[in-house]
Amino acid sequence: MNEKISNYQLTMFIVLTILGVGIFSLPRVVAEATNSDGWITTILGGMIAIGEYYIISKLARKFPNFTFVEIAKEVVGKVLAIPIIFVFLLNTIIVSSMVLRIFGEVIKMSLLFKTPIEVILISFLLLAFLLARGGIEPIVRFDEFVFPIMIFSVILLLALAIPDSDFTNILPIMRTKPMDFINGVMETSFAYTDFEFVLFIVPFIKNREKIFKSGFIAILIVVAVYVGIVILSFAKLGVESVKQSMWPTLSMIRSINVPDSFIERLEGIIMPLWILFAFTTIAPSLYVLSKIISKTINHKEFKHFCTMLIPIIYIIAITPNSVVDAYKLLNFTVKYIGSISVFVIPILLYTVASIRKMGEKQNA
Amino acid sequence: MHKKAKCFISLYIIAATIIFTGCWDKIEIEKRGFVRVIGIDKEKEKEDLIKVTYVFPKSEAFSPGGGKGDEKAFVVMSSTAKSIGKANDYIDSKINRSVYFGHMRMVVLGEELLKDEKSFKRVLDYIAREPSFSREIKFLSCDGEASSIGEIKPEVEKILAEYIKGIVENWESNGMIVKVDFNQFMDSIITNKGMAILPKISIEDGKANVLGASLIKDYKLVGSISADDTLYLNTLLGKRIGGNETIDIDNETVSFQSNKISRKIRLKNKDLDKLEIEIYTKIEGSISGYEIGGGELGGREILNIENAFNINGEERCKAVIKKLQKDYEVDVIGIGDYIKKFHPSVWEEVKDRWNEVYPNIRITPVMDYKVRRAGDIK
Amino acid sequence: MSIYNYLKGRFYTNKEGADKEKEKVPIPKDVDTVLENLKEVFKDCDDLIYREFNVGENQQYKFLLVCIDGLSDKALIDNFVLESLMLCARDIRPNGESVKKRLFELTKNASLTTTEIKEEDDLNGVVTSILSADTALFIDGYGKAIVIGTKSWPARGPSEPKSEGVVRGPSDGFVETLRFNTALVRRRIRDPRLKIVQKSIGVRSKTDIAVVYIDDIVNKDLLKEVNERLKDIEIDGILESGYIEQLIEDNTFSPFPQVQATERPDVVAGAVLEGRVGIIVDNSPFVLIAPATLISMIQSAEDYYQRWVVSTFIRVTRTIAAIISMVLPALYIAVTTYNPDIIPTKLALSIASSREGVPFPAILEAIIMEVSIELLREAGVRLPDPIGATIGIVGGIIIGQAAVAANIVSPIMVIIVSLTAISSFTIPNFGLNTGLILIRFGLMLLAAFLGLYGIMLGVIATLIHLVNLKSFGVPYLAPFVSVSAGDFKDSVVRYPLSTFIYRPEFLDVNNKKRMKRMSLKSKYTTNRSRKR
Repeated sequence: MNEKISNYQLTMFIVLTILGVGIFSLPRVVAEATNSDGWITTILGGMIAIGEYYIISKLARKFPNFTFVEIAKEVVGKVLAIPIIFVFLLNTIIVSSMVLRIFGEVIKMSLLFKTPIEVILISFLLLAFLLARGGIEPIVRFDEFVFPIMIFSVILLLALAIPDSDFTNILPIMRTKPMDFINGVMETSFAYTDFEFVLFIVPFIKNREKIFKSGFIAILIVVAVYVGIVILSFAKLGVESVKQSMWPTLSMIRSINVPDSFIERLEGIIMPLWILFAFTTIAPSLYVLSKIISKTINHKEFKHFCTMLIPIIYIIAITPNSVVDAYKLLNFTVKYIGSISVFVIPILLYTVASIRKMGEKQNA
Repeated sequence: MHKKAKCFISLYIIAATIIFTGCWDKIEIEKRGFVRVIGIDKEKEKEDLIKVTYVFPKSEAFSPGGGKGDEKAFVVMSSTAKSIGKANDYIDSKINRSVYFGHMRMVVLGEELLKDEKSFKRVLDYIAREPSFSREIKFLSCDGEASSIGEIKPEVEKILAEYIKGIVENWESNGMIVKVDFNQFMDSIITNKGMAILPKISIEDGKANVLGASLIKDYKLVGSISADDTLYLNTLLGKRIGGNETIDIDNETVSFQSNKISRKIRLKNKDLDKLEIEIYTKIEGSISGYEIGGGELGGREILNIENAFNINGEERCKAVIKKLQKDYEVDVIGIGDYIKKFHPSVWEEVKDRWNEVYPNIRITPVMDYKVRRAGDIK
Repeated sequence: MSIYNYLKGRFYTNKEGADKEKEKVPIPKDVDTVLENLKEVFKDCDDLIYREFNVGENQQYKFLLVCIDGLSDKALIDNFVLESLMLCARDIRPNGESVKKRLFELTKNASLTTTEIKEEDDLNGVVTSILSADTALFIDGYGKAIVIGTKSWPARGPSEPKSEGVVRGPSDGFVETLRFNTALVRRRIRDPRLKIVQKSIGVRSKTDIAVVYIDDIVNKDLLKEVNERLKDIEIDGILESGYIEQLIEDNTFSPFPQVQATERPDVVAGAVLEGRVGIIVDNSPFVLIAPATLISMIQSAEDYYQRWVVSTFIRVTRTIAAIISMVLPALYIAVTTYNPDIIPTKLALSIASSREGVPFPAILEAIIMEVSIELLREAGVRLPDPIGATIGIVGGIIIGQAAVAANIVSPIMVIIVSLTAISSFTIPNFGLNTGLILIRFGLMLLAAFLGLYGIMLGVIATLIHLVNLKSFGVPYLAPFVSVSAGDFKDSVVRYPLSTFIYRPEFLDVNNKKRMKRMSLKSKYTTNRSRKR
């Protein structure tokens, strides 16, 4: 019946794909760069993401029936497209593997202390495989079903965190130098990554004109969630503690005290819900990766590559020696390779396409 | 073979080898030792060692049939080691339960430990780092040895932690002990480089008693203030809920019970050499004690009473401020915090010399007591 | 070659035989031959009645009547066939010659005072009709038979549906007779556009099934899909609608039923009005409804008859109960063995102390109790009513108590398991209930090995399965998924009836509007009070 993705579904898809493991370390990242102005940095990071998304949506509208790989091949020819695709692929695969690794580390820290991380990683990958092999439709339906639950729990969490918080901790405002701001914004970019996946589902989207609007709303929602978490982390823990804490969001959740309730530690409820967040990031990544490979090689079935990618992602995920190394690799990848693939490449493709007068005309 | 069957079998093999080969984190609930309160001391005569006292509740006491009445519902054990982690290991070999910190509520720090900078820092780091510690833990400082918590015989309550926690909570609501939670404590230590305030109790005769607050500076215990002083400290902090003040006015003893407070700090003079801070506090409450037959409490009497309390309050607060500012040089009222947040330009100038600047600031408390009601009789 | 041998060579159950069977066999003109052939076919079927009789002024015409004792309505045959032909026809004095030529038409059109009459020229068809409780009438000299509808077999009347009781709502349930069931649906929808299309499925059982739908509402693709799947069924016998359900469903390996089975005519009528398709199967009081979604399994007919506040509350409770029944034992296992920090200390200590003497780890305890409850439930269903109820009490209370006292299980476990059982009973659809049991055990196992993380893995895996599941082209998780927000009105909550203006979107029907738009405000009180 409904084969096309509607606006709501697109928005939900983007929100859930972006919200992943970034939530946990974001307060620390912005605090380290800009101290108490961290929330402003978060918003600025979101603005940049919106800008990047705008370019992507324009590119998508120019070629409404192509995915990213096909666009690249069409615009610059099959040979030149290969390095472009390769950069994209590298970015996505490293980011996904690191996200998986960090996810495993957080689970180890909060739910399963002694379980070997390999078990967590493999089981999660298998699950992602189950969803990704069905194509984009089940992924979108999954997101749609799960979205209200997640938004509801995030709002509940933020509301419960408000008592016993000192909101003056976000003062003083605007004492940071512009250089620090720029630095901070660069660091937050990894928290907003993954929206470029839209380039792979364009042929399935119902309303081509609304691609930008849906994504815009989606990123706004993400920004709102992030800002809420950052402010509450500062309010509950204090800026300096946030800078010291590995995963300030986790510490903040642990500090929430729901008096006289059945639940002693909110963390027990929030962590399972958060597993859903991580899942909705990793499953689409697997799908996109296998789609890239299958479209580049012009193979019909992307499902086969799903299976092949599992060991690859797993191996990359266990390569870093520790959590710190994982974060370093992640940040490096996103800052340099990511910005190229999300920023430079779409602009390049769009410009070349415009010059060569390719693709569909759009209304002014 | 049928494709689906193949899928199934391969999935099963994978699942079996991964999942069924071991349950690494599984500990049956009755094998856990739920430690709710621990005491940490510095080991006497042995440098570098700390002694940790664990309080394990006895499960039979909590069985549905109810335990036998008078029996002690917990078991107290200690172990000595170089770090808390090592002490945990030693305890695991002394009791058949595995120590579980997930429900920890209270950490009592002994006096000697607080005086030893190095050990204190070690302990703090462990507590901040250990992921299984909940952030709802409250810290208490203790007069003497923290291991004396083992001698407490709570009579009204079965669980030791509840007893101590209950006492502290009571005193929080009458304002004579500071309310400090995990995050505030850690934040203060980290931001102010080792400066904090902790509630202080003493353990005598098998009972816990509230003594006021301990002042910590540079990761060391530097002094303490009494419970009565703490009342006024809480007033200055704007965190006092409830609390009774009884003074003599014109040969009559009047009691005032507060129930609402609001406080504002203001920087009056930005001149760096002559910084002046005014703490303006408005306290609302009711008259809880007068002398019966001493006449009706009319408008004029009430104004009188309010004035008298204002003067008394300001005097007592000034005394507390002097102690904190000049005797111990500890900024727990939040002056530095205030300047940093609301006058960042001033903060930029003084932050490097804060230790010298702080004792020289003129801090003036201004009290405004308001009597809202006077109980059931006029 | 006798018909018997001819037929014997054809009644195979493989495809070839089935096709050949459809060849027509002409009826011999001579009644005696017919009698012989039928006796061959029905050899050793002693419940057949062969009535030869003579009709006419001088009893010159030979007639043969064949029917099955027990199936056919003998009173009807006696009074309206035999009497009409034997006696009444005698009174009419037709001219001998003119009657003789038109004997067949006269009999068929003018003498038989019965309602249902059909002409049949295929002996196979006649045999099937006789087996379907009709009566066959042969006239000497004509190679055609008259098939008279005389269906009357022992059947029970509509009674309260066993598996779906309501507090408010009609209590008539479907029975085993197709015609009664179609009648129950017709009563509720008196629209000629309510179509009842009958087919016969099953090579040997030739079970009648009726496909019920409303012509201008239903989605034609859906109808086509249903019909095609029914056509694809090639099986010996259909004994119950469950056979059909299993042969046309999308995913046989799923624990979730994709076709709804109900005993209530009002549910079927409601479904058909929404644009779904009903399948009534003879000999089964359970009528199938396609497509089905997860939500339709959790809804009960009563939800529509009560007011919306009550209904919403009950529906939400039921949904929570469904989730609890799936997840509670697993949660218990996970919390006690992996993460006791979630529950309050006193509870944790009390659980710990109550498990002191229990020799089994939590997972085994849970499995023992769950299996016992399932055994109890199954036993309760098999036993006749009074004993069944007693077993429930005996099993539940006494055995549970005894198990606790013997320290085989802890009291907490008994509570958990009872809560789970009670929650699962609130689910109206029994098929879903049993499906959830599988998931429950799966989650318990996962919880035993990976704690809360394991439970989440199981939940996500279930969700993935649900998200991929489709029932006749409709996503199983509709209305949460891939449709507009309008359908939320009738899912976990139930908005006031006056908001149900459009039919559910996920069915993609024609003719979307079903109710006039009414304001939610009470439009009656203001008018009345003004008139005063």
